[in-house]
Amino acid sequence: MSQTAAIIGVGESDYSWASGKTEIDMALNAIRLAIADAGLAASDIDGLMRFSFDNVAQSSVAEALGITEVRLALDSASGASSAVTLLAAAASAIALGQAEAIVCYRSFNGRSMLRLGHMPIPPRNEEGNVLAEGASPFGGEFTGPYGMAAPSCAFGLWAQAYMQRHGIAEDKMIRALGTIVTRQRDYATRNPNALMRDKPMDLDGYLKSPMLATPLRKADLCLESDGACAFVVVGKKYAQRAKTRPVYIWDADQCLSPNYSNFFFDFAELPPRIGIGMMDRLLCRHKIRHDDINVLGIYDASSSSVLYDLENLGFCGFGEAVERIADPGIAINTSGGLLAEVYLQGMNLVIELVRQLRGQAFNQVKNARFGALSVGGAQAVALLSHEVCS
Amino acid sequence: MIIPSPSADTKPYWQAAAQGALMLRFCEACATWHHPRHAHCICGAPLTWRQSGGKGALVSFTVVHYGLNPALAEQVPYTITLTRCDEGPQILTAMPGDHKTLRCGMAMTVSFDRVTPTVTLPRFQPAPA
Ligand SMILES: [Zn+2]
Repeated sequence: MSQTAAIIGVGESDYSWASGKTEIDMALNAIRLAIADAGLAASDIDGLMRFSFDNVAQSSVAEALGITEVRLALDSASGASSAVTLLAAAASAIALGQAEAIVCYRSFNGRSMLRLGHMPIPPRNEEGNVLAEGASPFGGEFTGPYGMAAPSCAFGLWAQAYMQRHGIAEDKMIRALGTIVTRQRDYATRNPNALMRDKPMDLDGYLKSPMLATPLRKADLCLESDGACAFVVVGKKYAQRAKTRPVYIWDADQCLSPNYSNFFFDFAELPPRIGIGMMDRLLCRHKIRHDDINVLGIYDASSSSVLYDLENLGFCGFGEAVERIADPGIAINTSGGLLAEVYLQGMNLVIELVRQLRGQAFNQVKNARFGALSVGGAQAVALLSHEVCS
Repeated sequence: MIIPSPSADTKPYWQAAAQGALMLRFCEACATWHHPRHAHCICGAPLTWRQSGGKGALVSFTVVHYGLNPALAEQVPYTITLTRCDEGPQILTAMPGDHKTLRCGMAMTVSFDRVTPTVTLPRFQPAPA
């Protein structure tokens, strides 16, 4: 992987509950802002990368921006790990000379169009029954008849098994989850684009949030929202003359777990132990330690994901995150994350790490030098810094 | 009510349920059990249907209190359970009501709930002591 690839531009559309815009309009909005932030012209962009399930095609973006030659167009098929896949693919492509300035984007009307948190209602038959078909983990023939309707129910199963496995009392678990939620809600109050900017929540408020799937409340689950994110990855040439402080992609790694995309709860152990040792190996390659990381972005599909990722990534021992979270010694999801900023599947977490490492975040961590990203339930990690990788 | 709409491939599972049998998939080539959603073993052989003993251990559970869509709003609260059958595969079912006193690891046994004249759902519940 290139040690000199850097993110020099980031862009976000307005985040909303009902954008009233098409996904391509939101994508173009975010992409134009990212290119401008980078100090580049659209004609400088020669690579376009997206999530495979994004509805906005690279060719449509290129046409709309007047890019006549795209040297590299690529889709990540890594699902919820795609933010890291794109970072790594862009850095690799830069190193290979396949492209010089790559835009990575994600645009999703995740509330006004497709709500992942709610099982869509399939057709009813003549008796008025809903037919559940196919092998989907949510609403398929083996799950829908039992009310397994959304990832929230799977996260409930994970959390109960976690408590049981480690002998964690329910009130202790609730306190840990409440700490995560209220902290991220607090971060969001200082982020003008965060959807929950006007909705701070204290522990009392958290306890009043309706129970969804025990022990998880509505406030423990990520938002369903509309918006788009984009960032620009370049090599040395553009990084050296960037208007902004470049944020270098030091390293990335991933381990795709097929069950994450298929039968979400059918793991031998719950929550699944994924990516064990991956972060240690990554940090070891650069002779840095967990303690050196100042700010962390964790794909918080649920508040509980923060606990499991801290453990799977080696920030603490298994079963210890419920206590560690009270004072983790590391700032996590400082934009509000997927719980309180927007649900853009980790791409917004990349943008927040860039803001932090530039020293321009709304909840700035002092002297932030290293930022790490964990997406897809610790299936994929990346290490970023404003320093050039030595 | 949400009812299964089987494919040609999964029909035997639901037909057996209506007769009071829990079926799993089995690979004759490597003698391994598989979840009913799989048609082929990882060895490549097609799987056959074989009856489960209907007993297992509770892997986890969650009590759902919030109707995630209108069809489910009529059913809350209900308790989703994940049971590891003695044969190995993990089967997800649910019990009506709030069963917050379940304990992971407890013995479970299958029963059959005829929810419409033509549809029977296997449901795991705690085994009688
Ligand atoms: Zn086999």
